[in-house]
Amino acid sequence: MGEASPEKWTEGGRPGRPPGLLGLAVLKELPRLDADLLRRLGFSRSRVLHQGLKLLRLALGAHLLGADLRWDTGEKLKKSLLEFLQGPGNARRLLATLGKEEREFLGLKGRGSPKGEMVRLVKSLHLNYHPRDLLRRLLKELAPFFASLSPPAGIPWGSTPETWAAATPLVGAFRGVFFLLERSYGLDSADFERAMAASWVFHFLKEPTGTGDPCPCPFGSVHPHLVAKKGGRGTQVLLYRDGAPAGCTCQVARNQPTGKRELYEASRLNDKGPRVPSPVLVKYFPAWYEALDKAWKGGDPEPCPFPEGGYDWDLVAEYRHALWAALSSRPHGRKP
Amino acid sequence: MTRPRRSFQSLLLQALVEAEAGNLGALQAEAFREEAEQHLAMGPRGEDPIGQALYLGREALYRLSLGDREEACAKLLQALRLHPYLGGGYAARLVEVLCGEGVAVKPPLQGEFLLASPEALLAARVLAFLDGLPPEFWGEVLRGPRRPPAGEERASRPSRPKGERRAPSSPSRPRFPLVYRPRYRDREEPRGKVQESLLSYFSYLRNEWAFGRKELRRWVGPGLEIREEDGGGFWLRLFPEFWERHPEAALLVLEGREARVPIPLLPGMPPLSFPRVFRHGEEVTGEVWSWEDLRPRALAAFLREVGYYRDLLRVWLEYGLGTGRLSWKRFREALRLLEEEP
Repeated sequence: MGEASPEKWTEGGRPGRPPGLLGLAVLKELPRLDADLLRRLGFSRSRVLHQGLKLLRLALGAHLLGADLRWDTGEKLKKSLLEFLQGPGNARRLLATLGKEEREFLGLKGRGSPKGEMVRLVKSLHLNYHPRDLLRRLLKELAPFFASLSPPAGIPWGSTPETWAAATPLVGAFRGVFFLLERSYGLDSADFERAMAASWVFHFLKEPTGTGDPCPCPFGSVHPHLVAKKGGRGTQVLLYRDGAPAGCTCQVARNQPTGKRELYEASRLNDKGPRVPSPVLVKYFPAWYEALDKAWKGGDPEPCPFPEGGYDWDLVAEYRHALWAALSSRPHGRKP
Repeated sequence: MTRPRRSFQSLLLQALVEAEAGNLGALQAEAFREEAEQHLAMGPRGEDPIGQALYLGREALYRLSLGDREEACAKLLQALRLHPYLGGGYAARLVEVLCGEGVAVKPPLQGEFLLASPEALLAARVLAFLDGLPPEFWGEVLRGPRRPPAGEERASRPSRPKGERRAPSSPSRPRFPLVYRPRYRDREEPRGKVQESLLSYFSYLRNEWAFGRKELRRWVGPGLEIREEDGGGFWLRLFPEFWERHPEAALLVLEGREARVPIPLLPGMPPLSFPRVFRHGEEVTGEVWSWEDLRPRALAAFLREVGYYRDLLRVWLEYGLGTGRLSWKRFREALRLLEEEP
């Protein structure tokens, strides 16, 4: 089978290339994990990060090939990955998504059948961490590297809902908010996207309490299920109403005049579901948020953008491409 | 506005595959055109160069679906002048193949960005990797490890491994899977034929197509059914067979991958609605609790958890008391708990 056989292609990119970054010398190596990167980041001694990133890399490949994985714990991820590898041809297809350096990093030597080798590899990985704990650990280790990481000023951050999303250092977390709500309430995520101002989500992910949100009214009603309300003493609330006769009402999100922001799940069907904690990204990306703050002092961002019909996630992805290109194409240490 | 199912990047990749194979005609298939049309309908979003470039790129794909190679080429060239990294690099490659013209990639924002240090570049590599992880991963990151289950299970199983929520059912408590049997409204025929060779790399997108908007969720189990009503919630319907199997049933606990819904049961009750907490095709199991299973702690945990069918719960407790299944003392305690809950 030839290298460019369409069968080997995936939604994410050509086999051996990182998803989405085909063909550009400056970008193509960017999201690839390899032993050299981990060594330079100083991860060589961390078993958790090594095994965790290996597992995530394999899971990402399998996900792009359509695997239905469970992400709630490392062990469940591993188990569902092993199930995926049992499918006909899946091990071979997953192997094909990995580049040479990635295979080396994962310790794949091309001995024996792809299936046997992949299954052995996955079985050898042990991760007793929940994804949140793994990510926290990763961000903590990376803190010295983030100290000088700031978004390029050429993108009009905050001008549209999509730029608010792309301005969040972990853009996945921004989309994850809506994914979590969709799963929890059983409503289309677009409904939540239209009901919550982009700047509110941005600031919720940044920190649970704090000023800086320029939006005077962060929630909007999206009928029939989502209703924005003004509560006592200027508290704003987004409510979920089910069509059930008992009139189930759950709080989705609250915004207090003190600057406190809260987000709730509905899984237990209570008036107030379990609290979704803010990941407090400002703790890990101080320079990033400082740079944005500075940029906004020069000219305020759009006060309260709601994405009409939901986010254009393709546009968010384009802002991120521009961002990574800007960060990686610069000669180190001097201005062009 | 319907948001496109497939990403712009994925359409661009498909166009590139076909262009490289000299098979541009395949892009005029109905399926591709429909997707391209949906992308075009997203309209121009941002007025900045990147937003404009995306719109031009979408126009180009639509042109390709009409077989208008020349116009597509012009649009792509225009787009790349604004944003050379369009589609993460696929657009530039497509132009090379389509128009036979190399497009020099030069950072468009030069002079405007802040200085990137080598350290920042390393961090950016990890962040770019994290960007690729699916929303499922991020949903878990935000939610964090699951809380231990309420009530009885928490007390009796203090050493359950982290993240494990489901209590193993006791042998006396019947547990059964519900089978997913969706209903379809105005079901469209499957999309236009995708070339066989492309099937594998679009397999996960196909999975998404299968869960189209018009699929109404439904699960069936022995003597019961959960049915999604158009525009409403889920409805639980119990048939006589259910009561023949479980004459002492007091409670039905429905569990999906994420959500857990306990529902009080009364013989002869009408269909009962609850929010749409289970996803299309999700594995759902049911567990039947008898009145005997409802030890004081379990009953208290249930009442705290459900907080939902307030009026029904009152009738349910009265039924338990009236039929001698619930002692007066426990009935009083339960009522008190019910009053306390907000």
